[in-house]
Amino acid sequence: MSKDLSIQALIFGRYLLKKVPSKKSQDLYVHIIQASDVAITAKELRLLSFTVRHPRLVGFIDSGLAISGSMSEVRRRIYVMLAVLECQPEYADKFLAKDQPWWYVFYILYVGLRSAIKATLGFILVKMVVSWP
Amino acid sequence: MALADYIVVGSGCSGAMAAQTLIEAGKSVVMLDVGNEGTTAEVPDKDFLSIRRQEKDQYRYFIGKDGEGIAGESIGKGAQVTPPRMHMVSHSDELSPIRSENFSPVQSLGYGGLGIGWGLQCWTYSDSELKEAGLNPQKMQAAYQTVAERIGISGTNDEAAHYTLGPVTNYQPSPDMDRNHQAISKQYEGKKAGLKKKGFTLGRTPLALLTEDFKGRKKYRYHDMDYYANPGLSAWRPWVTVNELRRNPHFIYIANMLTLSFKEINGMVEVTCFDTVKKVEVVHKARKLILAASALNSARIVLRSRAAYDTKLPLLCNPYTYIPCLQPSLFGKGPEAHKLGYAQLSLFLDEDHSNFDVSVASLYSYQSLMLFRIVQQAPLNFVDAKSIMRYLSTGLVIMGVHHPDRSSAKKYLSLTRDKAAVTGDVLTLEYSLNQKEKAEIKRRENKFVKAMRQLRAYPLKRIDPGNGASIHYAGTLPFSSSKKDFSLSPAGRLHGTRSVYVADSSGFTYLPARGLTFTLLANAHLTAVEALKHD
Repeated sequence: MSKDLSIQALIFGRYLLKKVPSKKSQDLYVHIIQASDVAITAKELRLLSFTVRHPRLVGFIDSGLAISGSMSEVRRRIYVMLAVLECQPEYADKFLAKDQPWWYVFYILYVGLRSAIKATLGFILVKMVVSWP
Repeated sequence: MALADYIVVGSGCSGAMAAQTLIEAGKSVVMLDVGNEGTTAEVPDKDFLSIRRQEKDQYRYFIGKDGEGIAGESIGKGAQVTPPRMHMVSHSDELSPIRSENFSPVQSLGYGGLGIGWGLQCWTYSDSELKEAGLNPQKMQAAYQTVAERIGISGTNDEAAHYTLGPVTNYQPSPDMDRNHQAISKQYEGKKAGLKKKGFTLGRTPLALLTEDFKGRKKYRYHDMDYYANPGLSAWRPWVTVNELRRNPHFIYIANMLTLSFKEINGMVEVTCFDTVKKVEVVHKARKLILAASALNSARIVLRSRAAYDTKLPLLCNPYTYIPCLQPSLFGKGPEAHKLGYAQLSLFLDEDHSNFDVSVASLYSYQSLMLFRIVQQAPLNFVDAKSIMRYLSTGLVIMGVHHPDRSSAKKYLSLTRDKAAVTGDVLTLEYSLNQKEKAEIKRRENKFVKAMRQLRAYPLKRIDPGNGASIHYAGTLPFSSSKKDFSLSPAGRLHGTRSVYVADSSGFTYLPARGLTFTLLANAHLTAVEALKHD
């Protein structure tokens, strides 16, 4: 189980940071998930297994779950990794606010649009994965 | 051991203040308290940005060593219960069980009570509000001054002073405003006339926060770690006073004591407690008893003492909504070094300028509660939400709107037997607003929303965190001149007793929107004064 969680930490951390997360943050993720002891349904397990087998699709899974309303276990685990990474000094400046030029707002609008498209595709993907017999 | 003069139940705001008055009068006091204490690693005496960039163990206080601070409440309700403050709420479900379908209170058995997480706002009630609440305005004016002198407050004598400081004259200057509040204040100056016609006044929020050194405590240093630490004791918390009292030989603090009931016998009061460590019942005795366990728990103790199961008592709670707002002029800025997390401005809605039935919005900027909490609020994948929220966060202001409350038939509590509970009973709560109340709240909030737009802080959406989220509770043992059961005399004495007083907000017969803490501190002092008069 610890090995599975380490793999999740690596995948989620790489998704969130665009690079391999530190060993310390991976270990902290494992510890927190083990300590939280949340029951996981069969559907969630299927989705989690799919996510781990297809790490390049994490962003779509995350996007699809974001609009589904409730906090699924898969999304909760990505969220845990997000919180863990924010508390590492070496990543602080990736989370703290940053001075941006005036035109940065256009980049933000692009991100919003991209996110909406990903959410639509992700929603369909999530439905397919959890419904697949 | 000689019989103590007083037992005080609870180490929160009202317990601490009542105990101080009694000790200053030369009495002996035993404080009974469950008194859960924090166990989180010490927070370094550094500012937020330095900690973020340097401290390897910061996760211990930002998210908790087991991540217990991650799956917390949303930003408007309970987010201030960070890992270093979690002892404020620990064991309350087990030892002070609640049953309700429509009311979720926050209770505390911590050392310092709900004062551990208090936002430090020190508003006074107007004379008309005090009268409506069953309090004596002349006595309360003097009591507000006494409390301000004891705990140290900071404020500004601006045009909102009749809503904020009221009669208080001894205060330090307000802390510096951060850029979010400066921007709102600047907009207000330009639009004041129009907003005042609509009943709005904006002013500095008086806080129990030092801006000058005071009685061995240090002035605030803008570390923006307010939700995690209190370096130099610049913020007043009840445990600051209780710690001081514990140095006095006439004050005894006994922890791990959950007060169950009391009875008057042979000219003294016997208080039965449950020792939460040894799991046995213990009896303590004194000449008089002052209950300061909070409106909910004082009522619980009184009902249990009288075996009054299923008797309904009234319940007051400020309806509360929080509304995140965006200030586009502050998007895409770097982090702010010289900052504080407490509310710095208050916006009052007083349509007939009577200073009665006023609604109030507290304004908070956002930095030290971390980005992940607001990222979660966006219906987006976390990577994109992080990019967007990082850009928007410097322009984020949270408006927390409180409304006044009156009793009604649909707001009550009762004690119900429950064999499964540690104490053998559970507090059942019912709280519903009628259509008229809901319509009035909605009408006022629409006005707040329009006002904030004028101040160039654009509200996103209204979030109702549920009944009980304001963490302001009162009125369970209302003041009454007639000697009704389960009511208090104007002096705070429980009717039907000779020596039992209630010093928290249980007696209030009306709950103004302005946070009740400063008023309950003053009332606790006065209750102790009244109890002393009859010694």
